Amino acid sequence: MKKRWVPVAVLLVAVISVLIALAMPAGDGGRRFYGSTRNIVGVIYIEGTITSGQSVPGLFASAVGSDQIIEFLRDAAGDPEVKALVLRINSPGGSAASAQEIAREIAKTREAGVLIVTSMADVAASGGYWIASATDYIMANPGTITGSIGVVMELLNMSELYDKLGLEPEVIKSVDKKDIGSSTRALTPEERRILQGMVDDIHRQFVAAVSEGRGIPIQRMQEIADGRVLTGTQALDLGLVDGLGNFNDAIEQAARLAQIEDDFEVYFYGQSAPFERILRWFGASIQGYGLSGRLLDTQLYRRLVRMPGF
Amino acid sequence: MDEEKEVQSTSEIQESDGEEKSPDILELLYGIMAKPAATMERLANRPPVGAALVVFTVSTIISTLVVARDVPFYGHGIPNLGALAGLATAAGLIFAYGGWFIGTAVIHLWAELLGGRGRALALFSAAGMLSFIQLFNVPAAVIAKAVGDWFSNMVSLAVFGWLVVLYVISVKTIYRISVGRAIAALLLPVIVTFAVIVALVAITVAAITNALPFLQQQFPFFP
Repeated sequence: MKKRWVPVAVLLVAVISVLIALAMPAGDGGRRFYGSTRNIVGVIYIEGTITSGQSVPGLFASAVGSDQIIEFLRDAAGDPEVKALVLRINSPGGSAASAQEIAREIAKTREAGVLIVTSMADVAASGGYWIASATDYIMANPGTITGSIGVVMELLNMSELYDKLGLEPEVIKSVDKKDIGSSTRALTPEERRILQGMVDDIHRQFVAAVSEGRGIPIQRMQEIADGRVLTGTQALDLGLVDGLGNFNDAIEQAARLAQIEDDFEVYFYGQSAPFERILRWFGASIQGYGLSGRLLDTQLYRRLVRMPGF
Repeated sequence: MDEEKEVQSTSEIQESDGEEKSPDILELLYGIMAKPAATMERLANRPPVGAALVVFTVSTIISTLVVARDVPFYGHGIPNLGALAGLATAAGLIFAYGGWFIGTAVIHLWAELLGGRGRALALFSAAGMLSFIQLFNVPAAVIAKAVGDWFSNMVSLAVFGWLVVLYVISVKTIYRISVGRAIAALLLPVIVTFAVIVALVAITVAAITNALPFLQQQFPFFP
């Protein structure tokens, strides 16, 4: 069979092609090839309700954990190639503590020389704005919902419902105020005063943080910080944001402020795993942190992909 | 003239004592490309399972390696999985084996439902050998990096068409059915699967839509 060389030739050409492919720069046309640049604008997504600890993906609702965002920020701060970051915020807020944790890490990252720009998506309100106010520059869409500078604590007194259901909750406590805010009874005046004091204190911290971050006098901030929500345009008028524009505008602004606009690449922290993409398809808005996310968002991995030959 | 004789010999290799000689992998591969009907006839009689396994494994590894290099990140699609090409190839191989086995089983079922009679092992071997054809996509994928994706798209389309023809010939030959039934045996599983998926999605969406008011009523935080 003299034509045996035909499949051999096909196989040979295929193998040579693979070797050529492996020797070529990876990526689509080199636009996203990280071995070719030393100037990176990193993008960190903050989507969903912000909580302390780990992110909690879900089918219909989600929470982004401060630990994850802090890990990304620390990674960027320790990476000499990352000159700027864009925080893409799409969040109605969350706990004050989680916002403080992230804002603290943002300050450290800025001290490390990384410039940080916020890009507001649909919503960047309350805790979302707290985080944004800690960055160097805030860019919002004209229709972005932001502001909501204030603190709210909602409690539910279900005692009448329990009565109707014939339920009689029994509470055993070692000290008087251990069950403060319990749904089994109404608040006492003293308890209300205590909780109001807490809320007021967090509000003061919030206002002080925004005042410091935005350089707005505290007296002026107290006028603005009445809990109202604002559009991006209104926030611009009040000095709560610096400019209007979309996500790409924010990336370009970050590169411009970091003076790397002539040569930079974009790196996205924390990618979605396939299953999380399916959840997104079902309506969830979650920050990827599955196995692939853990594998791929580490600095070690980023070092690997930038090594020659990868 | 000599070439024609060689092509014919794919199905006519005989030992001097009259017993049919088993063609080797290279002869089978050439036969599939040059004289598919005759080669499939031979495959139907004596399925080369071992050869098919070798061809399928090698073809899949090579094909996956060249694409695994440029698999975009999931989600926001920035860096590539270059450093994980080996992992992607291994995963691709496992899925490919599964697809090969299940695909053969499904086509075998439909071919028999449509009145055909043949050996699943023969179809399994044929499908394995046919995987060799996808190697034509590999150099096209590399050339496309220089000339653009249109090139690999065109080659992929041509290879897909060629594979469809070869699969039709395989099913027709192995199960002794008409071309129309062979096409039906290949198409019906796809159509039925698609219909089932559409129905399941529709049912799921309807169920969630119906349940939403109740859920929102019970749980105020529900979106």
